[in-house]
Amino acid sequence: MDLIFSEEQQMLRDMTRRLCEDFAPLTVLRQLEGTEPGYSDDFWKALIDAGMSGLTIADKDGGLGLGATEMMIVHEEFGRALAFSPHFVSSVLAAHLISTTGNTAQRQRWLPSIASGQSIVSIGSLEPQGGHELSDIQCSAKRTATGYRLSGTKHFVAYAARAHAAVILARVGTATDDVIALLVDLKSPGVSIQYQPNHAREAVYQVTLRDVDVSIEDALKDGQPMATEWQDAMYSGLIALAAQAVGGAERAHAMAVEYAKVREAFGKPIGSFQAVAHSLADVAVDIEGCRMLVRQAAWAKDRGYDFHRVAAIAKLQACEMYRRTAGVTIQVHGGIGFTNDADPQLFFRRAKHLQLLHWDSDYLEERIIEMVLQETSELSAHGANG
Amino acid sequence: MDFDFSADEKRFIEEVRAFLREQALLPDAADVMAPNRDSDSMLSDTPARRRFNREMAKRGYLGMSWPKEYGGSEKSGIYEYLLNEELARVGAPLIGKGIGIVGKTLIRHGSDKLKTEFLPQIRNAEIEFALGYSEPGAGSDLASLKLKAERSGDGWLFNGQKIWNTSAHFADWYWLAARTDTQVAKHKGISLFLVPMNQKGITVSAIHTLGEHRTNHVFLDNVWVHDDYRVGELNKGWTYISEALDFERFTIYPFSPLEAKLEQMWTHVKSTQRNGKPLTAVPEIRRQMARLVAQVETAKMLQRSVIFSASQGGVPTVEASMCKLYTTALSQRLANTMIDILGADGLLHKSWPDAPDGGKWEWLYRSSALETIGAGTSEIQKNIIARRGLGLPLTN
Repeated sequence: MDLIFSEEQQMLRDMTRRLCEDFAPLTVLRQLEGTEPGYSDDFWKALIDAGMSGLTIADKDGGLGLGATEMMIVHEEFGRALAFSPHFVSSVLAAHLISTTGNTAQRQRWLPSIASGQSIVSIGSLEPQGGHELSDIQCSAKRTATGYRLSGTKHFVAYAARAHAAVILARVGTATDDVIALLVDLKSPGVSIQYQPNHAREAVYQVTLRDVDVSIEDALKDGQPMATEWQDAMYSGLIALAAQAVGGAERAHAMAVEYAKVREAFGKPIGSFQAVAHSLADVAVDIEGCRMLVRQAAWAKDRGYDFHRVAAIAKLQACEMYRRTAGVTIQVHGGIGFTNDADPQLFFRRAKHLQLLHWDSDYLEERIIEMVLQETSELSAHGANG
Repeated sequence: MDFDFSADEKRFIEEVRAFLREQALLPDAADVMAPNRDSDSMLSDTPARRRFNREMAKRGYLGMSWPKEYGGSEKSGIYEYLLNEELARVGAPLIGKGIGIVGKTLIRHGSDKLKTEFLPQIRNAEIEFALGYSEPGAGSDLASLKLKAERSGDGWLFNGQKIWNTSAHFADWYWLAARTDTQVAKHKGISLFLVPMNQKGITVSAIHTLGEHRTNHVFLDNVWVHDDYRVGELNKGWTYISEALDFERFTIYPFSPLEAKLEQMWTHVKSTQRNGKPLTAVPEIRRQMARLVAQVETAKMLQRSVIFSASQGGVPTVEASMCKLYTTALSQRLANTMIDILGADGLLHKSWPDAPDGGKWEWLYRSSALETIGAGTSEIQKNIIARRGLGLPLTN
């Protein structure tokens, strides 16, 4: 067992941390919150210049071809800095989908341009009142002579105002899995986008699709249902999201610990009271456990092991932990922690976003149960008990 | 980064499993391997347990991490951890305080006489120890212990009492912490001794616990031992006790029993119907099980963090506290969840023939109450994490 990052991986972490400190301090986040396009052009450009926008995209498609461990390292730093950019949605999620389901033309059109940062591709999966199940996807794609006609509404489409396209999940039949993915130009006739005011004041949009014609050439997997590929892309993405939660929680927790050392009450630092110290200790345990869970998930994926279960566990646990940590951070800061001027609230709001977007706890718990039930029945089928 | 054990470590795991499969076929196996009672077989003195321990010695499993000059094989501590994981999985006695606390402390600090006398006996599983640390007035605050050791001729005279001394009723020797100086700070006046148990003045009285095992109250009334049986330097006892705890930390909380319990829960949940519906279809049970799956995986990760830190040559004090704190609370949650799932049947004692899983859960629900208390309460673990891990200026 060896849990140390390689020298290259440590360099990657240091570089990402430096970029975040230089281009995405919390002061910048405060200026960007609730604005459009909702991320810093300087930061995004710095990431592009460093090759980060092609981090996990294959070399042959113009990326750096790095693995899940590197993705985790980078996103842990993004999480720590609360540094927001289209990296997750475009360079991780959309790029993964296009590279596993795109034909040659689609790969050539999109992957090098996502890798070089020329294109931003968003994702439209969630819908109004919809959960994370595929059966919640109601947006419909009707076959036409030249492609599909799309109708429906998508919520929480990140950076839609700047995105050159979005992968839209749409229904072609009544069976749960009858869901296809279409690359939709968000400037197409019939597409309208509207900023959705939200908890973390992130740049997420409602995308309304009214009889939008999409060419057959823009259908991923040649218009075949692609539930499996969508889930696989999400399971990989979970590692990045869980890493963000760990990074954010570590920083929030460190802030709370520092505050507990200097803030005095009853003539002593509040960190000298067990009620405060124990609550910080509890959170430290959760953070350590989740840090290890995320590393294990990244390692399992890079090894080519079946990583879905450990990735789902990592995301479930890390996001719940982040939410709890951010709550404790506010509590330890007392009244000042409730103000907008203090930083704890920045973490508190983002923790909830991370938990509820991209597969929430309920959905992850169901996935975990399904996987375990399947594994245990396979085990008993092979008579390999224990 | 690699979460796998090395090829040699994996080979060792397989070797131990093969050994345990052989042992499971012996007529007395049920007395030594009782997964339904965790490793409780180590808490009572049975011929089967002594035979099993001697067999472990023959295989070279006792003292693997000891230096070669004392008959060890100088292997990394991870092998002792892996051995304990496999022993715990089948509910067999773990390698215990003789090899760990007593043996390792003697190797580091004991006189040649003590090493020569005790180390071979420990390695050959020919000797049993009881630890005499806690007192009725000194539990979490162990350093406030009062049992008095006074100079008397060539030796020491002990007066006082100890409590929670599991195995004191069958141990041959006592590993005793006593106050040798009352004029200095409390943790600077404690010394360690080895005392034979079979002498006048030592009274062992049973304490029966919620977990259905016996521990003991031990009274010492003018008990004498020669100064040769003082361990290491005078008044350094507290340092030795803490140090021994530190190098034991990564072998005392095996993860495998949690994993095995979760598997057993699944077996039950998958094969049981309620109102014509399998329990796996009950939303509340699905949710609880999913959470336990995630939490058991988290416990495994905290355990890995301890092993990794230890394998790097560090003393994983904070990691071990984290692991202990999380794992013991989880063990209680798991027992509580399962007994709730079983409903009223879950209340049946193991002596009832049809008690679910041989009464395992009813017993576990009781016995796990000790986990967050023994070997450092959860509150003490949080103090350790807060002080040593986070650097908080915690006063008690």
